[in-house]
Amino acid sequence: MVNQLSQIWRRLIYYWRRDEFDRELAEEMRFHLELKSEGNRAAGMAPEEAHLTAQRQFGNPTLLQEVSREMWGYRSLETLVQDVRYGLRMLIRHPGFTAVAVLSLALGIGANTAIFSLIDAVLLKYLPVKAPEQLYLIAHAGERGVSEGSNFPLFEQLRDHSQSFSGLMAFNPNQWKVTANGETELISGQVVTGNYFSLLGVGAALGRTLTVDDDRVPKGHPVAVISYAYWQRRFAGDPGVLGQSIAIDLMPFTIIGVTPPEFFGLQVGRSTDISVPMSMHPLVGSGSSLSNRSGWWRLPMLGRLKPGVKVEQARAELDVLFQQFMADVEMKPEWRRDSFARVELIPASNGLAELRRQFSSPLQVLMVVVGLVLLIACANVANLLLARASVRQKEIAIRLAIGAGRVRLVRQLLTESVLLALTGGSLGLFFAYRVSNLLVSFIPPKGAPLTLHLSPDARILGFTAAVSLLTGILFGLAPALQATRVELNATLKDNARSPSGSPARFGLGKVLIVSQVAISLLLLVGAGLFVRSLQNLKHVETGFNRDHVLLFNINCYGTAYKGDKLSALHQELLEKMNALPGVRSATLSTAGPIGGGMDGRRITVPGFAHRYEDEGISVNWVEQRYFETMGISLVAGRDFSLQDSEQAPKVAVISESVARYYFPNENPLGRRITVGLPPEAGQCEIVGVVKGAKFDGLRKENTRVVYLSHRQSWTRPSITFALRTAGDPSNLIAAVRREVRAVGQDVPVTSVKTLAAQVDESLARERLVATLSGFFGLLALLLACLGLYGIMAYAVARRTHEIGIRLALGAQRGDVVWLVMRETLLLALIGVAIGLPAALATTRLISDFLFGLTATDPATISMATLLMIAVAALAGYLPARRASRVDPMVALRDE
Amino acid sequence: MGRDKHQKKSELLPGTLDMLVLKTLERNPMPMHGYGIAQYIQQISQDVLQVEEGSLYPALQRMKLKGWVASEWGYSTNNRRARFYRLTAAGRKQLEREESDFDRMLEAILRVMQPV
Repeated sequence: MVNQLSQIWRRLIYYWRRDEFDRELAEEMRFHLELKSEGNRAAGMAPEEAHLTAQRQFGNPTLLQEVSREMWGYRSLETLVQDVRYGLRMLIRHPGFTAVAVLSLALGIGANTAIFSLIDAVLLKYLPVKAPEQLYLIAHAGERGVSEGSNFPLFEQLRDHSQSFSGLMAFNPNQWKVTANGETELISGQVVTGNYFSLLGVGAALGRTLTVDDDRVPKGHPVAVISYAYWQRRFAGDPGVLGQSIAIDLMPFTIIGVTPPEFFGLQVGRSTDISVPMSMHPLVGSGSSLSNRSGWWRLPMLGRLKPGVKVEQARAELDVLFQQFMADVEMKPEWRRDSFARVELIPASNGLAELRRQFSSPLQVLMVVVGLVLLIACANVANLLLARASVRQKEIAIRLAIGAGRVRLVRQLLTESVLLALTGGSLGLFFAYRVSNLLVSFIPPKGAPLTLHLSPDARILGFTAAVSLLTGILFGLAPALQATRVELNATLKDNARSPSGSPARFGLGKVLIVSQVAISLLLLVGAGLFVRSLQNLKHVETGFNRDHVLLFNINCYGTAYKGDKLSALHQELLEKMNALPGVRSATLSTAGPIGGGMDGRRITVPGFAHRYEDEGISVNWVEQRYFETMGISLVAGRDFSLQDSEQAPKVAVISESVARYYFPNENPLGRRITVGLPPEAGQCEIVGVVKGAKFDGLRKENTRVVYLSHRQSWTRPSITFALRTAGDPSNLIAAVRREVRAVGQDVPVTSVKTLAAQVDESLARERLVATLSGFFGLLALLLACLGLYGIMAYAVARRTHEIGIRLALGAQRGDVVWLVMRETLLLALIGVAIGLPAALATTRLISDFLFGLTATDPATISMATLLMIAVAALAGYLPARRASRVDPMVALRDE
Repeated sequence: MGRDKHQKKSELLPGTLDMLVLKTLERNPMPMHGYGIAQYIQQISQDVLQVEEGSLYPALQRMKLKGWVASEWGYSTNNRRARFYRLTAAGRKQLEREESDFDRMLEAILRVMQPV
């Protein structure tokens, strides 16, 4: 051990003073040589001969010195430093080449880093908690898939009887009106069981977190833990926040602690700002009773698996407990079959994310796309290197001739390409960092703003470094091997321009070009399909007129507006809105268009044989002039009117699809239906039929909707107002906010936006994929054509002499143009011939993303192909024109 | 070339160079330079063992790194600057180890080679 340490010490000293050591070694050898030649002279040789003999016997002193130096184990490091220095010099000396290569690599690597950092944040990153891999979400599943919501009695049953988990906790995310420091805002919060923080292993940055003791007496623990971000935002990081009071849905709570900055809750992309004990649920939750065994399936449950317990084993154990529990629960057998058949355990190591469900497949597609773009960039740089290798042929031949090893040279060339890649990678990292926030803006904020941590961390840096190294070797290896396979004699004798020994090298370049064209075509076809799907979705018949409509939401949950006061507020707002200049009509409804969360109710149509599937119906309670405002046209009957007052007989308007489904070949007008279960249920008469509209999303079929009169029902706290405007609806946003505030300072108005914007937002996924794949497709096209241009220009430069002879012998300019174009087009066509089948084979994988066209849409494919060939032809035409302008006299005299 | 074909100059047995150098340094009370070490081995072995410079200097560097020999600059008999090597305590121990290994090996080889 001591010995090894002193060896390291000696090595360090050596490295520190290696120049001196080298000098000493040289001197020592010179001395040896002198003595040796003296010895030879003493043996009777002539001085000259004595010296030569000594030298011959001694061998190559430089080599000997190298070998001796190697003993110190620094050769590899030294050569690396040498190679890097030499490489840098070469790169600086050829700024044009370096710029093009670095830029294409930066674009390729940057694109990969940007998409990877999104993937990392949304899909891969572990929760910042203790041993996240042990965490599992306890869900239940059936034929209709998996649902994450349990209820409290089930939670208690599993918590108290399961052996496989070291702990189980439950939480219920919610949105609250929170007043702190005199400001009221809508905050994402959650009620959690007392063991939430201890089970996750999350401590407090300030104060303390909740404990089991905070969760004993129902309604007895008005304490709250707030997030670091909220603490900074609302309290400016004031340590005196502990003990302060905040009002959650008008209930006072005392702040007892702040969580660490990295902890954002369990929902990736959504920061949960306030946590309060489950015991407070009746006061700040939705008001549902925790003890209801058969309802309120809204409570996600998380367990920490005991070390050594297998997941399947734990699932089986929970399943037994679950079946026991369900045996006592009253539930329709169909419901049971669809959602409550068994327990499922879902790994929760990277948190629960609706974002993940929504964006994991688009992000994967994009990762493949950017990977292919990087391949094209690599091929481009490889081609550049090949072209440069032929310029450097002589240099390399000379180095080989004076004894450089081939491996050593390949290493040197590889060092150069890795240097290129690393430079490109650093620049790419910079690009990625600049665009990643742009990428996040593609994901629309739903309620709370999105909080994704995209700053480049060790993983991102590692990813970029690995990708750069890999690409450096990928595009550098083949050219390096080719470049060092030189016919020494021929190369050294020849002048640089002769075409000797080149067919093979040129062949590799062509293979690269063909594959670039093929991959570009594949990307273009994919991008075309995505873009046209987005276009189709944008122009899909929604059933409502999305222009000139402004929407906003009034959510009075947890405010003083209740009952009569609430309906008075709604009426007052409606009058104010109707009176606003520029508003043609104003109305309100309980559900907004496009993913507005329509309520489901039981429908009973007398004389219709109901099956399980058609017992449910979507219900939207609307004010009068709703259809006029939304631009949903009336097909038959009438709209709601002032006569449909609370005292009047209840009426309903149904959508066309409801009419077709429940009243085939009948006139539904005047028929009576029952909507809902007792006690709210009541018969109502159908007075009108309207066109279908897409309430569930643009991709879905028209929703089957029954519209009921809002006046004839109880008032709901969350209401969407809609205004049809004369001009640009966004001009009215400020006025709307002003009017609402004039009615009451404490009226919470959220998400004021145009209907067009809302429709647009629902296409976030599609737009993300279409925009990025379109961009990358064009980038790929550009890179491939740059490559094509480069190789053709290079070929023309090499053949100047030949072209000169052809022209001198009477060839026409057009012939020369065709000579070059023919080759270009041939390369492009071979690329297309390979790319098309590849596209046809792979686009099937993305058919889930498409809308209104098939994965083999002939129009898209032929457009992409034409574009590819046209741009390739352009790339070839420029060098071809240059070739045709060769002056035969100049070309021939050049020899 | 003048190399006598009858006077065969043997290649050193692999792995013995270190031992020979260490032994040479042990036998000579005064520090020696590289040339002197090579000459000494050649003379004592009556020209049978030729130490090639190509392996001598790397070997010396290696032994320096291991701490078996130490070196310093001094002046040779004809007053020229030269590097002189001497044995260290660690080198002495190493020599003992190598000698006993070598003895065992030699004995074993002889046992095989001797007529029964």
